[in-house]
Amino acid sequence: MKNTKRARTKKGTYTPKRGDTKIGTIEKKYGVDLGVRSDMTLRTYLKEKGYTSLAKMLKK
Amino acid sequence: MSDFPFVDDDALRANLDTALRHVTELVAIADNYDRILSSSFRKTIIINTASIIEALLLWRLKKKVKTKEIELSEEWKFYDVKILHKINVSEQVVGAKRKREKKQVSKLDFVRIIDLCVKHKIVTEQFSKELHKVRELRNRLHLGGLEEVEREYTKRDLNFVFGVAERVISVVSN
Repeated sequence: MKNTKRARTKKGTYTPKRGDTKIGTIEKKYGVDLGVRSDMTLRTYLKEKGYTSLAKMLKK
Repeated sequence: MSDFPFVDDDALRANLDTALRHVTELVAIADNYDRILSSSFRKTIIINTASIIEALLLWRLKKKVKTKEIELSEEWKFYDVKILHKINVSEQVVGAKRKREKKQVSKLDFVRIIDLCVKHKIVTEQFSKELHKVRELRNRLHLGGLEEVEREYTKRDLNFVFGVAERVISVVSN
């Protein structure tokens, strides 16, 4: 059976889409300071850095 | 939710999502290191994006082979090779049984995948030139084959491969 539905966490909440990941999560994970607001989404960050195609891919 | 919902192969879709996640997070952090390391991060990003592109094109080809829209050509396969005469240490006369067999779609390499995609009009000849450029960049993972010191990979290189990937997604998902 196709598994194209959105995945859920153990608590039953939906896991965020890749582009919805918050920059704060990335900063914490890799121990880096990306110099933007930590609540900015990864998709917006990529777009602002000029990676429009990649941001678009995460939008689909 | 998958970033590749159109892919009907569960394992492939999961692997593509993992690869894209890896790519995306590397892009986010790549600029936070010195020039050489940033360039190396970008090279890793290019290699992984190329593998996403290759996998998507192969998936499309496999689907077309499965529905018999495409028939792969046959090639000679050699079995039971026997030495008939040893000429010297580097030359021999051999005998073998050979059989015409259809090429296996899962064993195609990137260059053949691109060529078959052009042949069967999945991508245009013009676009294939960009796909080959991505393939050549990907092949730079073979350090032993490089004749010069590795160059610096830039944001422009990344945008080029992301542009190609975006176009491939659009082509194979329709």
